[in-house]
Amino acid sequence: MTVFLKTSHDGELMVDHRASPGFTPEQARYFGFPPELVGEGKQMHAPTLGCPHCGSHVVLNPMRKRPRAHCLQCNQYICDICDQVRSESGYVHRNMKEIRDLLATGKWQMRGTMSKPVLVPKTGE
Amino acid sequence: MAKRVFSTQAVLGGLNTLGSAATLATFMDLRMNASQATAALLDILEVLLSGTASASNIGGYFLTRASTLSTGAGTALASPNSDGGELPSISALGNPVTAAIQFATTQPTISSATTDAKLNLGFNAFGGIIRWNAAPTQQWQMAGLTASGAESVLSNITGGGAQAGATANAHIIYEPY
Repeated sequence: MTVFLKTSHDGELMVDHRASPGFTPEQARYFGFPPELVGEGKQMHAPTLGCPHCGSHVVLNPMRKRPRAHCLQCNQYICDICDQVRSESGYVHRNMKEIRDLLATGKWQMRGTMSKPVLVPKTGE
Repeated sequence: MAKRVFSTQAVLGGLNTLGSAATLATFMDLRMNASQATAALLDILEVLLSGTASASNIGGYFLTRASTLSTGAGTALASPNSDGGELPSISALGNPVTAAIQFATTQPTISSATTDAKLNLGFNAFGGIIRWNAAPTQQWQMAGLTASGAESVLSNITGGGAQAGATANAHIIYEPY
């Protein structure tokens, strides 16, 4: 039996400045890294994950204290934007695979955003 | 197909600008071969850059798409640069992709489109190392024979304090299929 852990879906970003001056805090922020982990003498290991709802690719900030969202229907991590959107009225749960399958039928067109897609039947074509 | 490794030494460092043609021999490029079926796909699975600068230099490296494809044949790689299969007998399988650091006619235009993906690989090239390894199903993909999906470019991009002295050796692990 194959056992899947939550970390089975992880990729990895490794930034090694142990033998380097690294980034200044300003440079780190420009490149989107936590300044505490990419300065002189620092090494950053951060998992990366894909959001099954919107398809985005997220570098998980190791310094983050707030909890991350988990979709029980997908049994996977989802990104913060999709987490917020799923509590809005009218939200319909669809992951990327379901959306792709629906669009592939040629009977639907997608509007809205990737986090809150609105699938509309094609008519008059 | 099977996995391949495209590797360079002392190529990366020179700055390139988004929206402009890259300067030859300052980038690592993968381009789908025009003779291939449009259904050909390629996954980029890992990128590693190890800095070789002799003083502190910020490398603003990004993996980007090409908004205009390069033209002409890819100039054959010269040692120590290389592109080969992880499986020793892979040469019999052929490769639907050109791995090059320069092209005979024009170089790729690095996409500045906000709708094209860019993978941030910034680091300090004075002793620094950065490695990105794709999560399952989150690999960087190339597809088709037209821009921007058919060509991807790894280079040091102007802006944010990126410096031309941020030289680096690098490898890209990829799999065409």
